[in-house]
Amino acid sequence: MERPLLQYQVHAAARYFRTSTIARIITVLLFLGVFVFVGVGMFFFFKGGFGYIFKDEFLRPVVALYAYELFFLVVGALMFFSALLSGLFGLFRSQTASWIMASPRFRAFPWYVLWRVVFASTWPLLVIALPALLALRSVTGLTAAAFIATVGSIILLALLSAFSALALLLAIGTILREVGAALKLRLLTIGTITLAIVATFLIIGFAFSRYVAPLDFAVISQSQNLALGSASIESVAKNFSLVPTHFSALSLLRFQQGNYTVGVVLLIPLLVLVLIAALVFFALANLSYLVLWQVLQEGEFHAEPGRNLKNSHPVSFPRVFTGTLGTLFEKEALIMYRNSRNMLWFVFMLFIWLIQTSLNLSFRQNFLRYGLERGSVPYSFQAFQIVILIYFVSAFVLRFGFPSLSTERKTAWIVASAPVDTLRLFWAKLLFYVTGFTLLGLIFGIANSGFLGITIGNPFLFVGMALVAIVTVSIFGVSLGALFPNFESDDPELLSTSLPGLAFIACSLSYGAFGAYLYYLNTVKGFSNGLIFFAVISLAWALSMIAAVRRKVPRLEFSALQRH
Amino acid sequence: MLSIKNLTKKFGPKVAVDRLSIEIKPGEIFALIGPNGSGKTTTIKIITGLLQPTDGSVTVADCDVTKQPIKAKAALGYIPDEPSIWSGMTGEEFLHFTGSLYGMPTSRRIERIRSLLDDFALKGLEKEYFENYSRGNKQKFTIIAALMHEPKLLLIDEPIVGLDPTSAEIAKKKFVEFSKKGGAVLLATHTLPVAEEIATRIGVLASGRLVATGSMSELRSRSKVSSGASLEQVYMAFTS
Repeated sequence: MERPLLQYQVHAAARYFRTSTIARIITVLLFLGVFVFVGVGMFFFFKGGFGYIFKDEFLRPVVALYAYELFFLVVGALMFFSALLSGLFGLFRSQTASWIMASPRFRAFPWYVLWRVVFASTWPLLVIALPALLALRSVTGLTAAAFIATVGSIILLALLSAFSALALLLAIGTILREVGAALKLRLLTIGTITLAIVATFLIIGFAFSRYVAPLDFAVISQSQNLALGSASIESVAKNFSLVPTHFSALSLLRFQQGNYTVGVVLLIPLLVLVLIAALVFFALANLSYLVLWQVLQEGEFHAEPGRNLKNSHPVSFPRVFTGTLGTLFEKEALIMYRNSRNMLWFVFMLFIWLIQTSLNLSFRQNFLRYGLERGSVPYSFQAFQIVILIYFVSAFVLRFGFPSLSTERKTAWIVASAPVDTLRLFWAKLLFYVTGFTLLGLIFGIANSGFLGITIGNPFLFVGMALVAIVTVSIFGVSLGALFPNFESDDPELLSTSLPGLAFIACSLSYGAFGAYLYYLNTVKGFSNGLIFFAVISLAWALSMIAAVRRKVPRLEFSALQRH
Repeated sequence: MLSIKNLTKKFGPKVAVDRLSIEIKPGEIFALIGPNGSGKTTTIKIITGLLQPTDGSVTVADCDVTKQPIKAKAALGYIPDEPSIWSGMTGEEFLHFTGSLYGMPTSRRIERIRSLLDDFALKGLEKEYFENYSRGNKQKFTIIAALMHEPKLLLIDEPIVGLDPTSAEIAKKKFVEFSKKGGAVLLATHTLPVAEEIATRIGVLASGRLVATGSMSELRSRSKVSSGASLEQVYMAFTS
């Protein structure tokens, strides 16, 4: 049963190309061009990084393992949490579930959700991981077999993330239902499952801040003991031994050292974990899914008038702003914070950003511990903060700002049939997302630069550059979503991974890397013209996007039929 | 009030509406009937500004919908076939939101909302979120939103789908009352008894073309069915 459902997804993607216009083909080609450009850029970035890491004979194994552990941990955590969020709404809030759940093949539905989650969480990471592995291959001479085995280990991690996340959701649901039945309370709701997920975030976040973030690298690598031929990997291995990604990291190190048998053997526990998680998922999906789905479709609301009399005092809307733009702006805020799916994604992304910030805090503590001054953070590391900042802002824009016009496909009639210029809807969205992401980006930018002492050396420069970049990326994302709306789906995750969505990632990351490079040139060589050039390019880019939207949006047809 | 001249709409090679011309005067209820895919919803969506016409013109209250869309839209109220509203909004917020888009002052909105909630027996439900409403209640809120700003033209796509019999009766009375006060109504429906009951003129649409138009008796004579034939029999004669 899940096969026809998955085939439908493939056909929907194929339809995009069958109904291609020249503009769409150009978009695809442009995207592929940027995609290759970013892939090559990432390859050289990782190549340079690995080359630097492997320069020191003494530290080579331990630094390599530490880098692999962190890389796989971040990749694994991202896949697990995104599977948790996509799984929650895919399993229990899917709009297409009803007719499948009413059919005799309802047991296929959780598997369909699972494969969608696996696909959605794997392939973008493969896109990041592949250039990294190719770079590693070029630096260390990693064999083709070892390369394929490592790609396989990433796929195993994706499977483990999806199976375990969905099994965890079903387990949480089952426990809430059983405990609720014993206590005669309605405990099983999307809200309580969400709380359990947030608790999972907090527990993992606490464990990360307690055991991983504050690592003193000099101590764990035993680099102060120069009597050793090379720094020991024991402490690093021990530190990460409790997370499943450790097997992938250690396996890669062994492949890199030419120890292929051990490398392959290390992947067996990972495979066993995947099989166990699959078994648990299979059991829970068969035993509990139907009843959990049924209970979670229920509400406590009575449709009959007079049963829900609450406060009868009239409440107006908009409450804060006035005028058409104010009304539309406040509507954006309201539908954003009253959407539990949006808020959960927001918290998740904020959580990942907080982890990154805590790493910077940890770096600062290490710097200070070894007597380094606050302003002595390497320039390349300072510049890298701009890439990180743009990366996170882009992630927020991609998830919330970019699909915001497309997700209006069913509700577009409300504003489109009213005496309101359609552009006002775009302006309201632009204003809302640019303001929100700018505030968010500046808070994190200032916090991170403060932790690293960047603002001491370059007062206002880092923050000014961050401001220009955040505003530009936000305008680009929201405008691109308006220029290439997709009214065939209102799933933000699906929309984000559409071709224009991927083009947005590629362009914004290239833009971030370009900005960081110019910042680095300015700091090291005093090349201040580069920053002026960056500001001018940003302004021109933002204005041209807005100009394109002003031409297209007034003629926009809010219908999927426009594609045929 | 509504003038459609040679309206054509194409989706790629597919012609959804083919040189359609309709005039609706104040006080008229014009029912547009026809098989699925005959172009009823597309026509209404073009009038509301949700779709662009490929050719021809549409005028609402003497304003061309493509050249003066804001003025044209200010004169119309739209009830869609699918009452999709943001799930996190309450009924009351939605009504204030639409009223605000039509430039209604807050005090007038409060007054109209109170009166229309009473008419549709929705009092007490307005502070709940849309995700909790039944389809029928969602539909009633969209009807109130369309009537609230007192438009000159009502565009109704499937007016009573999901409504209970009492609410359907209230809705029909409201539409008739609206036309008697000088409003014009364009009603697209498959519920032929409703069209037969309240429409002053009926148009039969097939493959995007208006194959017949007139009052019930005119359609009966043109379709050569018996004088007491129902609209369903007339419809079958024109479309089969």
